[in-house]
Amino acid sequence: MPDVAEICSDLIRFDTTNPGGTERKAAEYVAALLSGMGLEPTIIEAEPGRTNLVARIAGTDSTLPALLVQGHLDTVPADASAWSRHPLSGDIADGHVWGRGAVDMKNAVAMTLAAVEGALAAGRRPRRDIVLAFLADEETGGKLGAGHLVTEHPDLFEGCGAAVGEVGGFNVPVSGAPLFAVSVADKGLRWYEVLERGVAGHGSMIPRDNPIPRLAETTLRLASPERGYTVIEPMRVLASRIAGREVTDPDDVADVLTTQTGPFGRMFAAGIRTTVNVTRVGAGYKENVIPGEAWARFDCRYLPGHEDELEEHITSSLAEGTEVTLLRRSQAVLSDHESEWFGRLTEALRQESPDCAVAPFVFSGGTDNKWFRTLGMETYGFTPMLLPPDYDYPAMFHGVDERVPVDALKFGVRAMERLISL
Amino acid sequence: MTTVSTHDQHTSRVISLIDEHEPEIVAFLRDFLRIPSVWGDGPNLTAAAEHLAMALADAGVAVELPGSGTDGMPNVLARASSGHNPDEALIFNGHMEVYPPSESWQRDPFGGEIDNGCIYGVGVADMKAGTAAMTMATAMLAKAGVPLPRDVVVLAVPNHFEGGEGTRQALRDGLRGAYAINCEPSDLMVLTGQRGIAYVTVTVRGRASHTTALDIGVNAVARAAEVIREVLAMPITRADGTPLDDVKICNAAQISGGVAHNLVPEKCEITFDFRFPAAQTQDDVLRDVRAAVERAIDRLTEFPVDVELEATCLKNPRSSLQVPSGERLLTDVAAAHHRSTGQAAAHDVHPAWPDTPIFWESGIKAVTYGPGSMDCYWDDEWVAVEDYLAAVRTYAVAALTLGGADA
Repeated sequence: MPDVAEICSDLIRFDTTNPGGTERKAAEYVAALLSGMGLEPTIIEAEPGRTNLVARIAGTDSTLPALLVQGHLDTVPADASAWSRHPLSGDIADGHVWGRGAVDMKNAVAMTLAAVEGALAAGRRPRRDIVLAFLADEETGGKLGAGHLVTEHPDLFEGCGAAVGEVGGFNVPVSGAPLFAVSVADKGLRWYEVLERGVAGHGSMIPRDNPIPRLAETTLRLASPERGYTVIEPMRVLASRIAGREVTDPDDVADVLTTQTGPFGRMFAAGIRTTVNVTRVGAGYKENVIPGEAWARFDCRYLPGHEDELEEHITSSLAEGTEVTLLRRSQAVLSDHESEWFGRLTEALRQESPDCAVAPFVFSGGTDNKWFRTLGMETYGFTPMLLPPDYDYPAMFHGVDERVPVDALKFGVRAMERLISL
Repeated sequence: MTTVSTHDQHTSRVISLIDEHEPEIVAFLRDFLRIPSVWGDGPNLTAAAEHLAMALADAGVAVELPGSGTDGMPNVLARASSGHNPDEALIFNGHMEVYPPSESWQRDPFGGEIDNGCIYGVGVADMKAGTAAMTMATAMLAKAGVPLPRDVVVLAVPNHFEGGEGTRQALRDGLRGAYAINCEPSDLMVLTGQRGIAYVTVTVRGRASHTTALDIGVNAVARAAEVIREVLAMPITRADGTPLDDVKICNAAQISGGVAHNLVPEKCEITFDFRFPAAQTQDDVLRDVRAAVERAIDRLTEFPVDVELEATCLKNPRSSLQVPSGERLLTDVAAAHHRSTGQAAAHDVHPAWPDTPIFWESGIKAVTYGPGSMDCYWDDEWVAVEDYLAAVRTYAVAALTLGGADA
């Protein structure tokens, strides 16, 4: 059995770019490792090549709720010309494993495999059932991966009370003992199209009802940067842990999260704001014709519990006659940061890093958690890694020269092995 | 005194001839309307040119179909000779192309229908009635056989919509004259000027990022919205920067930006359509817009905004025009209108862009006068038959009287 860095490196060398590539080769590699551990993975493809694997390790106490450990095999594309090492090289150099997927999230897959192998090889059967899921298609929404499994094969996850996946379990650069942040929430998404209708005409006329200026005004009202902070409890708790005091005022929370967390500031800032971005706009076909209509699309990300507020902001910002259509919606996800499950995650970290603190946070994007949530599981972002201080972890996600420290992987294997034993 | 009375007899003779030939003059316009000479349609625009050329040739006017500057469609260039200096000619100028008809026409757009004293057809006002009228006026002058005080030139073009290309081509090829009458519709008013056109493209930049990455993305579309607000609100100014009182005519015509639903857009392009007054040039418009951009958004060094004239404005600038007050040409065309209609001439300025300024830029005094409404492009477009015939008469009279004693 290769070690965690080698598994991570091997996985990186399979091109699982999404869109464009397939997960099958990487899944076959994982399946071989699982078989070597005496497990029998179920192989499921929603489309040829888009392979998912699910395996169950039977626990010693069938009355305990099971834990799902899930990770995706696909990656976003990478432009090799911008990298200092080829993104599919999987080089192990300078204390890092290099390549696309090194943090998102072939590292987590490698850590999980190494942890399970270590436990089973040592003859330590987990107390509770552990379900392992290695998934396709997360990077474009998960319809062929987690989405397919939860709708077509929910039986594979029977008895699972919680799921751990991305993004979280990293330490925030604070002085003193490590502070690990574990994600308990994903923001939700609403995509809108806004349409303004006007009166088409010749450009030589004094404008009567040109839809472009109206769309510009609507855009400025919708995307106003002066929207306040929306602090939900996990972020308040995180800020308090970082500051070492109770922090309640939203501006204060924002200040702590953005100024005292180094490279994580931007990511945390997005976790305390509902965002409204205009992403596309179009109107007109000729320079001397006033167009009859003008449209724009908006990408809105809202915090759990604040979807109605977003909808209210959108509708109240529209002028009379403005038409708005919801193009896509993805639910926000929020799990309990005071639950027994969160306690187990904390415990697993404490066993490896005895003085550490653990705090929840809100992840600014969406993950496969949204799918597993539909089966009633609590979902957490937990890829435990103790990161060195000079390492810009957030920049690695979808970034150039994505890489992960080998020591962080090793820490992760130990913490995961603790977790599956609890 | 003798001279004046001779001129007047000649004028009367031509007007009588026009009166006698009214049915053919009207039929000529109807046949012209039946040729679907839509902008860009080379074969039909060539057929339209041949239609004009045949009428002129039949009347004994020398006519040729030289290049228009656009492949596959000729100009019509005809000359009724006076025996005087050809560079002192009066040039009649009109265009032959029309916009494609909208789907909401109730009448046959290419039927040449006459109903209740009005003649209908795509582009009858803009400007087949004017182009037909100048052609018929020249043909009638030739048929009447009256001595001309100066050469009369017919210049009909198939590509005015391309920034006056055909007219510019004829002048590039050496056409000269003392005067020009552009026959675009003016409701038979003598126009004293027109606004210039500047299509200004503004490219606003930002920085691309995923929409969840706060503080990385700089949204080019949101910045463009600020630019639109400021450009529409800004004053228009003279070269020295002082604000002008003229009504500002500015439309945002096009906007486009962004590539994906979940990416902050890095570029957004807006096209503004400016109709600038006589006191401005297109450079003044650019200066106004650039100043507005600087007021509207910050970080311009980091995310530069390009403010540029659209390509056709660079190739064929459509400048504004104010005919100098007291210009004799205005008085003479007004007098010709009075002679033709019995009514005093009214004056106005054109909201669109006839080729008239092109002549001034070549040292030829020019004015706009023609039948039909100045509102451009509408369903069931029409011109009163009486106005069409009045234009034929006014053009003929003008050819005999323009410049008075200097002729």
